[in-house]
Amino acid sequence: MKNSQLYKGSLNTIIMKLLEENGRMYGYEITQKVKLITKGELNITEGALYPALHKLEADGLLDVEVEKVDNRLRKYYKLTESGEKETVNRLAELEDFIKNMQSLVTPNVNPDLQY
Amino acid sequence: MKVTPEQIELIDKALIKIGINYADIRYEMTDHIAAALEQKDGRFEHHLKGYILQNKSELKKTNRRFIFIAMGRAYKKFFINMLKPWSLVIFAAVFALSMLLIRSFGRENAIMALFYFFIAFNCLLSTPVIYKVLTRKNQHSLDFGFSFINLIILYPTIYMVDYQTTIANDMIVALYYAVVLLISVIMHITIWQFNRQFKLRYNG
Repeated sequence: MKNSQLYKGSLNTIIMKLLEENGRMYGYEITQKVKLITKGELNITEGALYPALHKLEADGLLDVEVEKVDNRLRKYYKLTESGEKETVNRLAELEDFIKNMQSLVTPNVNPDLQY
Repeated sequence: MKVTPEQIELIDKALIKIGINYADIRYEMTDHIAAALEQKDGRFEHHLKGYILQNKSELKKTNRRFIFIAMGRAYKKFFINMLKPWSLVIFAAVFALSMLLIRSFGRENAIMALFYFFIAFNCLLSTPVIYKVLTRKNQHSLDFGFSFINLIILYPTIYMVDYQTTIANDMIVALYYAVVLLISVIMHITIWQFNRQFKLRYNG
């Protein structure tokens, strides 16, 4: 993952957003999806991804399904009911954060009028 | 290229070699590495060696973080079980039984009976866990967290045998054994719950 605390702090929200959009995903699939969306800019390492997934699972925000795929066991993650609610909250929080940061970094640009 | 069962075994062995012993962590890491290597052409063994060399420290770090998260989960579940009504029933039953033993056979005899019962009970229920550790079969990351609890309660129990016969009163002795046996029972119930969950998840 890009060596930045900003990205690290948003990792859980990124994972939850992807799971909200795709239903269920496995670890490697998440890393590749992030790489694809960010055009290779953001590379999530297994050292960052899996502990985050396990932590979210331990917090009851993710559920796990294990299936045998291509001679090996594959662990799929999906959002639980509370995970879905939490995703909405975290995304709103992240949007606020981006807005505030934009106001601070480029005070002359009004983020609401950008698009 | 698709990874064959033999190659999956090679990945698994490579993970064990760098110290990733817990099965649940290995299953997940094996799938990740296999998926990554499937994108590459050429000699599998060569790519695997390269992957492990390049990511060894990252994999080990991930393994440690997995264990700590699992430890947190194990203790959380342990404390949730402690707060269940049946815990209070176990506590009350052991306390009452301890008091009955002390009143019927004298404090010294009762303490020895309770102490040996505690040791035998733990040895018996820990056998599957010890077997898994020795054979390194089907060990999962949640096992790690529980290995400490037994040691934590075992030491004071041995140390307190003398103290209990001389200084403490009957009530304190009964209370002590009610607490340690409750901790022990809850720990084994929690281990059993996790083992069942693990079997359902990975063995269908």
